Amino acid sequence: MRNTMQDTSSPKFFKKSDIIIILLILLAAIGFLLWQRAMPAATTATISIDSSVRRTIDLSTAKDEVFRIDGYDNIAFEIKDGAIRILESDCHDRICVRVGFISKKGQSAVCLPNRTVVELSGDGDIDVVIS
Amino acid sequence: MSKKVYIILIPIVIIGIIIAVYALRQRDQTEWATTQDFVMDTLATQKLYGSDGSAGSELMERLSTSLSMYVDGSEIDRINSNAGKEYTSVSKDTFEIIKQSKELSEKSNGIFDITIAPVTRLWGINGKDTVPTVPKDEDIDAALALVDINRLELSQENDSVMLLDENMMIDLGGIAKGYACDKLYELYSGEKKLKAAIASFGSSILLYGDKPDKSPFNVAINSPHGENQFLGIVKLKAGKNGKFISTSGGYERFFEVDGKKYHHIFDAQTGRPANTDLISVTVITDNGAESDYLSTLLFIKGKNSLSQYMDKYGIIAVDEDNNVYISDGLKDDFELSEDLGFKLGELQ
Repeated sequence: MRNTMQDTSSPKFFKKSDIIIILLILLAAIGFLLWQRAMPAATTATISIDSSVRRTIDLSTAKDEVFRIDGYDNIAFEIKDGAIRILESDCHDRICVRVGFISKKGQSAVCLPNRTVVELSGDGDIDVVIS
Repeated sequence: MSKKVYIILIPIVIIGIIIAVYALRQRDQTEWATTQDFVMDTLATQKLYGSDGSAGSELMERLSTSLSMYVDGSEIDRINSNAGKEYTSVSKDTFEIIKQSKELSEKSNGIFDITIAPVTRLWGINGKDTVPTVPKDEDIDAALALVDINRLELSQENDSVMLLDENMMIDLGGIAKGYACDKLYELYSGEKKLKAAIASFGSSILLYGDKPDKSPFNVAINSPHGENQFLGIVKLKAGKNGKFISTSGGYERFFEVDGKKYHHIFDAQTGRPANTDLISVTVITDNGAESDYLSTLLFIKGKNSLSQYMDKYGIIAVDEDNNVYISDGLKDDFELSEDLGFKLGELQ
């Protein structure tokens, strides 16, 4: 009874200290969201053969390895330190191998004779690359 | 409800709204449909907002087949086989691109010429099953004698085309990708639900419409030195009129003999890879075939010819000393990569 009396007699619903608590929680939450956005966005490597996706790899967490895609032994890929490359290919021009390691969104390594594409995507600014 | 509940509730509601807005924006990004097609000797991609891109893929496939000199029985192959013999009747599309190519070839004063094929064939640089070689001088001269745009005749009556001399050949490689962007633009313009599209043939790109968040398209230009770096990023608004971008550079397709590099952009006057002081030319304009043609032409003509084009088109060119020349109209929208040794240059 006494508490209720005090509440209604108070001209404001929230005390100054309450508003400070609300602001602090908000600040902490917004800070967290900003921190999350500022984190380097995960880069995903997508390997497609014959226009269909065969494997997607999160490069930020991927372990270093050399691998091939089942059924397509003529081309090998390597992941190292968050970057990926076409390591070996039986194509004649070897343009795809010459590309080397790629690690940034928008980059790609393409093997036309083997119809193989490694493409990097993720949050970021680049919509398309011209070369 | 007690006051304490509100103290917790208010921040939660506000945070909830922020997350919802953020999530909606994320959803926008995932609604882009993409396609990959192996056409025109390259990887072609589409990214579309509001359409699935199957019509575009079909169009690219069709153009790739009919416009290739390397596909047996294609329209270009038939024209080449009938060289010195008779007129070949072709489809409206093929007639249209040959007509436009002839006009542009004539405008270039012999530097750009779609009848260059006997030369490029001799070098073996663009064919699929050929090994690139450096031909003998007399062989180059013999092939060069067959290069003459004035001996390509067009007959409007039934859309037919004839190369007047035997062994003459057309190669549309220098313009077909840009032209395909023009045809895709026509297709996209007719699709009411399509809000935005990016079509890419690697060296030629079409931007169409507005992105859902109304921000400009960010186009990264590959560094002429390869190395998986970008020369820079140009921000472009496309709208319903579309924007067409083409890049020419000798760095991606080349072969080496005795330590000397030979690239794939031929000067039709010399019959040899262009001897130029530029290493990359990007042209932005409102027609695809024209952007493709101009990037090739300016690459061959070199630095001294740039100034007369800078005001009329959007141009980003790099010379062999890594000086970058940019049209005034693009300067505010272009961000040059730092730390790669490129610097802005001024034309004399």
